[in-house]
Amino acid sequence: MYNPIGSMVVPSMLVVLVALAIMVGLIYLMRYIVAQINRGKNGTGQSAPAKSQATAPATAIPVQAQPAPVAASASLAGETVAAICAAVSCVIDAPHTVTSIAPVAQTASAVAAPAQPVRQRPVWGFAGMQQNTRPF
Amino acid sequence: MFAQIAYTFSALFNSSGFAVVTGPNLIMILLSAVLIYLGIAKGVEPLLMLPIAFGMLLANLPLSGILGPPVQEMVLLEYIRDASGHYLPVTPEIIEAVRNGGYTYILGLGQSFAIEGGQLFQVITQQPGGLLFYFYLGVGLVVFPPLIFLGIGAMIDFGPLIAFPSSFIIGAAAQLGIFATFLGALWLGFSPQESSAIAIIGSADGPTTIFVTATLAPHLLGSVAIAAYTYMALVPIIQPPFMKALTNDKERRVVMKQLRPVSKTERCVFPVLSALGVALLVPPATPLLGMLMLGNLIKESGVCERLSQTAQNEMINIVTIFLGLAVGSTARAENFLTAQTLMIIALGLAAFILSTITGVLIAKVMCFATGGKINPLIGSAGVSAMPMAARVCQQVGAKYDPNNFLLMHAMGPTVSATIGSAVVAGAMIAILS
Repeated sequence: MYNPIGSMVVPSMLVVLVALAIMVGLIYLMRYIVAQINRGKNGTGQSAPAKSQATAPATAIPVQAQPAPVAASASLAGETVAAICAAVSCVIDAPHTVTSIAPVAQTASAVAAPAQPVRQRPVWGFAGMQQNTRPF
Repeated sequence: MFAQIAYTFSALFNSSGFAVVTGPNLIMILLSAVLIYLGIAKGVEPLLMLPIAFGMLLANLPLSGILGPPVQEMVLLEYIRDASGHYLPVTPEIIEAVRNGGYTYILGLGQSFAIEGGQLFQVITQQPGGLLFYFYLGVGLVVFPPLIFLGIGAMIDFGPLIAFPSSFIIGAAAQLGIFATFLGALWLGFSPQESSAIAIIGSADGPTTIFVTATLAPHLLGSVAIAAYTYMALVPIIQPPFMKALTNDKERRVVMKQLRPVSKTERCVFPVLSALGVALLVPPATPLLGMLMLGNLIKESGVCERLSQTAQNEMINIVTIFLGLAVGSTARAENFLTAQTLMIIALGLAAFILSTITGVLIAKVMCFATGGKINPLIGSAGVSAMPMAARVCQQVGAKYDPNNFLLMHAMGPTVSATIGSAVVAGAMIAILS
């Protein structure tokens, strides 16, 4: 006599459970293989933090408000604005926000005065400027 | 002369469909119009509903011949001509060679032969078959469903599943509803093959449903396909009451841990290993699983962009049209307007509901076992109605906690259910065919 539970339901459920075990096992095997490959590429030291990042519970990352864009004169290139902001940040120790950068208008006396020869920055001063604007 | 005109018009009328259309034909035509309305005006799975409904309409038009098989004549052969032009008497050795398939070397290509009663006949096609007869070959020979799965694989993302392997448990548990419905269908008097075709509706997977039904019970294809696609479209209506009934407020508000990022290597290796593992376990599932994983590999590899785009767009759209027309053409009055169809529709709904219930229940168990880290609502996404089931999870969860984003967590069970339903289909075919 045909027994549907014994001949169809139970075998099919067992097949599904075995397939489930195979798939889960494949995923963990794959994860292990990829981790080993990455460890071989990056070295042991770098893989450990990556592993701890993967297993550490995700903490809420505080969303920082984006600083308002610096209002800059149209005559200044973006790179120049960035370099000036970096230089100011290096010089000023206290928390601050650069809100605008604008060229200073020349006074009448400055215009009337003869052009001064460009002074060469001393070497140490040049080195200091380079050090303070290193990211840019 | 007037008599002649009257006679001609009478003959024309008698040869038209108006003379032979029956009440059941008209009912099926009306039903197809209702399905077209549902597809267009109500948005009930229009991509499949419109071709299916129109195929139903065409199939129930009398005298169209659109479904008819080719008209063939068999001519007894006493002499045959070989490829070099010589005439040979038909001997038992030649008949045996034809039977073993070596006939092309003897008789030349392009000829069809049949052997009956120890005699050789040449099969001459006097009239080709109807259009939908040839479309149906794609369903009957089980070509279209795997091609649909190829396109689905190119659209699917296994990332949430790889990052959350426990989804497989939910996807597998949701298939329990299929087995419960199988037993119910048997109890109602359906054969095991018919019961499998009806029960697989609970997987909420159209190609898998058509794959199983075309293999085990092709005479039920029209009813089963229409029921399956209708319920898939009704997921947002059917599932939420059961999701709320089976969970409490605290469980619905569970916030799950963010999924880890999945590397490209994992995304490329997973389809290959999965196809190997499952195909070796359940060989009849190979056409479906193999195409699903091939489509996914094409997409994830990133080096076959044209193939991926073709699979996701042109190919799946073309196959959908042919598949829908072919499936709809099986819904003819004589096999659709029966009490059996009503039982199929009721059992299909039961299968769907039971799959939802078992998925949510297993997710509740997992929630308890993990100390409240899994939101039980994602259990309802253990049906393969992609991505609607996951979207419903997100919507229901967001009602209780607007900051709770369950969508990607629910995609894991949905995707695993696609694989799980293919495994169940393969098991059913292996046991029952």
